[in-house]
Amino acid sequence: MIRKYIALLKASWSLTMEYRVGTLVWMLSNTLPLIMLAVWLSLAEEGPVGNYAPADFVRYYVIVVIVRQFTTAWVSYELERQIRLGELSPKLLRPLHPIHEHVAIHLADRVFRIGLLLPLVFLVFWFYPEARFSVDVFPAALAVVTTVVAFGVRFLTFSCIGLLSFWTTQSESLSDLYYAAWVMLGGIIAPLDLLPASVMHIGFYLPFRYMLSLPVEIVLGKVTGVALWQGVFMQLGWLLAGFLLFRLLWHWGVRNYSAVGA
Amino acid sequence: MADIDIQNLCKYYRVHQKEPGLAGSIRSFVARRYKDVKAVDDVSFTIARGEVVGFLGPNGAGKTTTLKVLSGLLFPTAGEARVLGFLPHKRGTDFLRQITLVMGQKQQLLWDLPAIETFLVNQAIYEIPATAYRQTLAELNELLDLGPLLKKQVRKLSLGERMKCELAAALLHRPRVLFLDEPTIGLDVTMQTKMRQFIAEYNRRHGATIVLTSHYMADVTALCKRVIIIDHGRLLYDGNLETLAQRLAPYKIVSIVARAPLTRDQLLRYGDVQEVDTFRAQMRVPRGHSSEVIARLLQEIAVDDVTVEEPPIEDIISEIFLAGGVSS
Repeated sequence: MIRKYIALLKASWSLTMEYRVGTLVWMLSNTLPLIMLAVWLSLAEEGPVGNYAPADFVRYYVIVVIVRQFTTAWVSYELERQIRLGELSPKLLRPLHPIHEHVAIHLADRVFRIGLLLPLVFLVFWFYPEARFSVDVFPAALAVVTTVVAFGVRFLTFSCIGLLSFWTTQSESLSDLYYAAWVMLGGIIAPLDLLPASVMHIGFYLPFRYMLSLPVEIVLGKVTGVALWQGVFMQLGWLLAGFLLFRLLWHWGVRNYSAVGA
Repeated sequence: MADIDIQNLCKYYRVHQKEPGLAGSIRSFVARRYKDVKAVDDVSFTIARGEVVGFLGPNGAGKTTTLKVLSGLLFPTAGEARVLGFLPHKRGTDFLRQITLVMGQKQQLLWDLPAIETFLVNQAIYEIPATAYRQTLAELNELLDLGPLLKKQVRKLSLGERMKCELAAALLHRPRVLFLDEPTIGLDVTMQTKMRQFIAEYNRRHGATIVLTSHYMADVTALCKRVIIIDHGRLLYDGNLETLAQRLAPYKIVSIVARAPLTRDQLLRYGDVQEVDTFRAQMRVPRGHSSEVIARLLQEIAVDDVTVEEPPIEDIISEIFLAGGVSS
């Protein structure tokens, strides 16, 4: 399996290099956090919003941008296309689960993104020293781990939506809806602790916080003690749920696919 | 044991029936109506190791569906299919490592990378040892002349070049059973010939079992001793290609070029005259009497050239479809 992954990663890296300009443009076009940062900065000019002074917003959105680059996933659109156009068929006939190809391309893409992202982050902290901060080893390590899990949650739940294409041709719009919910409840529109308490309460149980906001909260020390472990527990719960749901949908979906004409 | 064994195989699709227009859309939204389409209907046959079998039938006859059932992409509605002793629809690793399905229009090559990248991925996925990989690649290279193509991006290859690489990618793991669905579709005549030579050579070298569908009769006559003909999902004929011609066309085609102008009446005593055009004529002569007829013809008419041919297989096949079967 490791050798298979090495081969897949090599090919995925070549593909990532092939699409480097596209990925770069795509990264730069992800401007929503920057727009939101500008909105919140202008609001914070007259005094802190909640607990957030302007420097807090800069710090928050820099971390959001980093975690987001690590956790981004487009697998649902890929699966949707492969299922709708029958591109899945040849892949089903190889002795390797087709999802591994998608995992590999997402991983290779991460490596490319780190290379581009790190210099940018340094620049921000260079020009905006007020936003610098220090973080202890433990929260830093936990943030790294939860970022990896966040990618897992996002990848798996997003895959599940893509797999709905086995039954409906409308899964692309569901992907868009899911994305919108993630923007709202994942921590992009606003840091979650600025949302109304009732929304935060619902958000605690939904997967979106665990795909982006949780590692950011951990780095910035916004979640500690019991609440921290509750968050980590919920995240692992969603990872497991995503995995099981994926297995189930895949199993029934492929059966359906091969019943109606692959 | 036979490599491929299917018994009473059926594959029905449930197809949603929708009437045209807005009213039809609303009606189908409220109460969907379905119809069963019998893509494959009670088909049985076995194919022995090393056989090359041509699968013939018009569009929608059930050829591709049968290949998909045999390769494991579709599970049968009823009946049983076994390939190399496996149930294909379980798609077990041991089964997948020994078969391949090449569909002329569905590709496995990574579009934006050179073909060699897909080959390397396949080497890992199929767990092909390095020496075997090098050997097979060298052999495929020799047969298909891949050399300059391997390092070019797939999207920059011509259709024929891509098809060669596609075939190579599908054969790197040296499958024992090959399902080829329209392997020569869209290729020019030279490329078609090369493809045919390659398939025949692969069969000869490795003793592989090959089932192929094609619209080009030349593919079938060049490669297959045995043909299976299906239409509307039902088996119409399964047997030797030559016997099929003899049974259904009890005549040969004799064409002559004469030195003096010919008339239809003059030729009637030799056979069933199909065409007369001044110096040229074509007629059907009963099988078994052709040499005797030609001998007479050469004595009685001053002739420059004579050819004797089997009737074109296309004509025979279309006669089968018109008649809806072969009487035994």
